[in-house]
Amino acid sequence: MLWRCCSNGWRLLKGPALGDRIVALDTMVINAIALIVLVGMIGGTATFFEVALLLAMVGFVSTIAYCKFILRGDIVE
Amino acid sequence: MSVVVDIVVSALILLGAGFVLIGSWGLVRLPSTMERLHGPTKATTLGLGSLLLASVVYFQARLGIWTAHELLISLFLFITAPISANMIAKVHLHRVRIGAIEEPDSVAGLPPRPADEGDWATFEAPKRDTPASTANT
Repeated sequence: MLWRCCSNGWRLLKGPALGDRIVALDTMVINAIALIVLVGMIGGTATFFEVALLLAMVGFVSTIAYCKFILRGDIVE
Repeated sequence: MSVVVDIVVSALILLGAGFVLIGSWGLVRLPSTMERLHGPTKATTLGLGSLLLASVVYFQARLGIWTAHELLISLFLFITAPISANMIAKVHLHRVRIGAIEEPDSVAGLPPRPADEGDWATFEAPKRDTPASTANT
């Protein structure tokens, strides 16, 4: 798990292209969702799934917003 | 919990964690951006899918309830992952086109050209009568 986050961070910092950094951020969000699901299973409560769902939504919206910003220079046209 | 449920849950967790790890490892190892895009999308679909399936089985066996949250999360992720991958690929194509970045030599090479002197639809300028915004209509 730690190794996954490390590899993502490495690509995020190194990434030659801007696209790489977006991919790395997206993957980091996905890995965070996986971690939260695992923590929820260890804890045995269903509360963590709301957190994971919210994080999935926020991650998707932020990825799209970042892509739109690079493509158009503006998020809401 | 019975032994069978234990084995199923652990196998699904290991499969999911393995796929997510492969996705992140591909993000580090693959040579060009378009190829690097492949890793995380597979990680989302298979890795998180099986992790959430493991969680469904686990909570059914432990608390005796079927939780719909996992279904919701996996549905949302399966829908949104291709969309965000498409947006990232579009960003990459545009930045290659304006010369902001160089595509490194790799197995996949440059993205293929469309046939018949055409260009990617994402490069097309908006038509004259296309409204730039729907805010004032």
